[in-house]
Amino acid sequence: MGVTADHKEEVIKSIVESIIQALENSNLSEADLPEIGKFVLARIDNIQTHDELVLFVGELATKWSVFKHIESSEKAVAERHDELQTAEKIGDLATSGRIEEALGLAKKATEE
Amino acid sequence: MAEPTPSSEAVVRVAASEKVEKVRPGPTNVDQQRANTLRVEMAEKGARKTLEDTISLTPKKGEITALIDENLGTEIDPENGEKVRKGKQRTEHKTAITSVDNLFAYIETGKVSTDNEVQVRADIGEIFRMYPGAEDIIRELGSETITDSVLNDPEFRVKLQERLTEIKGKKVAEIDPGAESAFKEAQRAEAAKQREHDRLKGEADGVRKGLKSFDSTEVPPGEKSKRIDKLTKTEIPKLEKDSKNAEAKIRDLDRRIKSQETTRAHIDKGAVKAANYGELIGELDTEIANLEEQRDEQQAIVDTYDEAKSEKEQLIQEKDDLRQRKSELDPQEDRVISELDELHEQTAQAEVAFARAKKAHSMQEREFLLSLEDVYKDAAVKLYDDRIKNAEAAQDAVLAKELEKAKDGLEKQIMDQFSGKRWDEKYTKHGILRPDRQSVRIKSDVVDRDFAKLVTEGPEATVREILSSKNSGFTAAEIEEKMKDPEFKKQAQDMLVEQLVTRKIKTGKITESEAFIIGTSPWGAEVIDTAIAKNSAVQNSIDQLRDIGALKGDGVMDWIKNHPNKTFAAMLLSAIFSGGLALVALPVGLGVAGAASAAGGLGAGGYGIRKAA
Repeated sequence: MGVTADHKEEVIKSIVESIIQALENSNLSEADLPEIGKFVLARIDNIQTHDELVLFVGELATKWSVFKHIESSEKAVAERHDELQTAEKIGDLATSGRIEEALGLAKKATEE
Repeated sequence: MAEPTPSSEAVVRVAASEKVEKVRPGPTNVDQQRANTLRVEMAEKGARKTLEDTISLTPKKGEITALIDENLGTEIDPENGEKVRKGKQRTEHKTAITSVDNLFAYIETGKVSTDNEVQVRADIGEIFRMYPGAEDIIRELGSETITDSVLNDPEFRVKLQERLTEIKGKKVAEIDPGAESAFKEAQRAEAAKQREHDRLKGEADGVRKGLKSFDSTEVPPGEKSKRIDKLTKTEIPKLEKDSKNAEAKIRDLDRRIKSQETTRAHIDKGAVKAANYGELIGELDTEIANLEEQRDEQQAIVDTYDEAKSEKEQLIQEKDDLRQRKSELDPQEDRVISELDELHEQTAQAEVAFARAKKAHSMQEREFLLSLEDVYKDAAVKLYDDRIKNAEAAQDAVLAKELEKAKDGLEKQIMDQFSGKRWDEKYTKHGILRPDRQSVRIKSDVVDRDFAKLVTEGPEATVREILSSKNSGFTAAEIEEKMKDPEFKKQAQDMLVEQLVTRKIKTGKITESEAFIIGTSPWGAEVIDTAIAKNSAVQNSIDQLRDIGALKGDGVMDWIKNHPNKTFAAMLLSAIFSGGLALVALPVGLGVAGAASAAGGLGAGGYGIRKAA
């Protein structure tokens, strides 16, 4: 799954909003900001896929836990995307008469 | 099927997004102030630009004033929760705020407030004077020219902002509240124990004083001791004797009284009253009264004896009671004194700890204030040092290009001799607050020797002498062969002059006359010309000087010979070869507008020129 430029900007907005809140709650200090800024801006524009984005926000949250919720959000998006892809595949199999395969895939997805 | 667009879904869940809409009034601390600033910037410039700005984090005036509010003063008004500052502290706070107002006004407009212009110029001048040779330049150009060149330079404002960024991290730690409460608690406990001690001591002193009165060993002996002694040795024995006599007399008198009373009763009860009944009765009554009076007198003697005995007993009892009380009070008093000593020690320790906490806070406050006071000085140091570094880097790059021209290994080895290795030595700079690091220093004795040769005999003789020296490793044949190549010979000589003059200037020991000799010699002027041509910043400054007619004649030799400033040659050398103070100061001093920033690439460095002896 690719990542749109708009989504990257949304992620940056979330990061800045989280920074503001963390500063207000004393979970970050002003001195942390340059490093965060450098970390984010050096990486985000090179990200192509959503998997890379999830990896990036994971690293970000590992370094600064105040961004944990962004990682969770992005993971949830990835999971939902996988589910939708599976559902689409099941639909295609069923439509083409490959019922057994469709059921098998549905079962597997449910078990997961 | 269309791909899900994660944009809104992923981000809507961000918990921060709704809360950050609210703007809290007024900064409560630096982080809060930064949060407010980020919020405003995000609304105005967008998230990405806001994040980009966090990398440089150029401090805002409000952040610095918030830091001043936070850092200065410790007392809090319980009613409104605001800092209470009095006297000196109040003045310091006000001064700091005013200085920050002035500083930001300068950073924003490039104009120094008239309120602090004198001080700012003095600060910059003070730093400039720290660099060798600065005094000569000031004497020639005037200190105002020097400070103008700095104040008009936008780079100086950048350095001020960098310094403010560092200051912004200077948070003064609050006085440890535990230290003050521990001290007050120790004081309270000691005072309570002191009261207990005073009460006990008062009683014990009374007991001791009482016992002292019974002490026969005192000189003079105690009053009560003397009294017991007198009672025992004199009064009681005498009174005992008197008392025994008196008791015998009492017994006799009692008998006689009884007899007289019997007689009287008999007469009184007689059936026939005698003719002189009244007279007899009267006589008997008188006699009885007389005897009773005598008896009373004797009884008084007995009573006196009893009283003396009783007095002695009471005194002994009193003494015993006092001794008993003393035996009770002494250990109590010892214990309380010991406890008091311990508490006193604890109070002293708590006081020291509290004093230390206050001192630590006060020192941090001082340091913070000092960093604000010295902001112009620190920025000037950064400006000059950076320029030196940049100039040296530019020179190194030129040198590296020169070395690339070597046609073979031998040439390279020879050129290496003049690239600096001969005059520089590496050493370990031991750091106190930072790790040890490798640094380079100039071997000034070698520089002085080679430079003297250069000035007196010229570059060829100096090159030959250096190559022929014992440790050079070159044979006479190799040297002769290479020196026959005019291209190589010129290259080696030019490099020698450049590098040797550079190092000589760095040692701060080049004289005006030596500089004049170099600048007006054909080989020196040629090297200077080449150096100017190689460096666009220098070229730019020279062009400006030429444009306003400050340089008269054709070429370096003429400029130097025709220039009225005695130090011109030395400053020109310093500017060209060492990125020294001169290049910034020189054009400005000669009235070239904007020359300071044009010369920024070389800048104001720490190299100097001294007057000829």
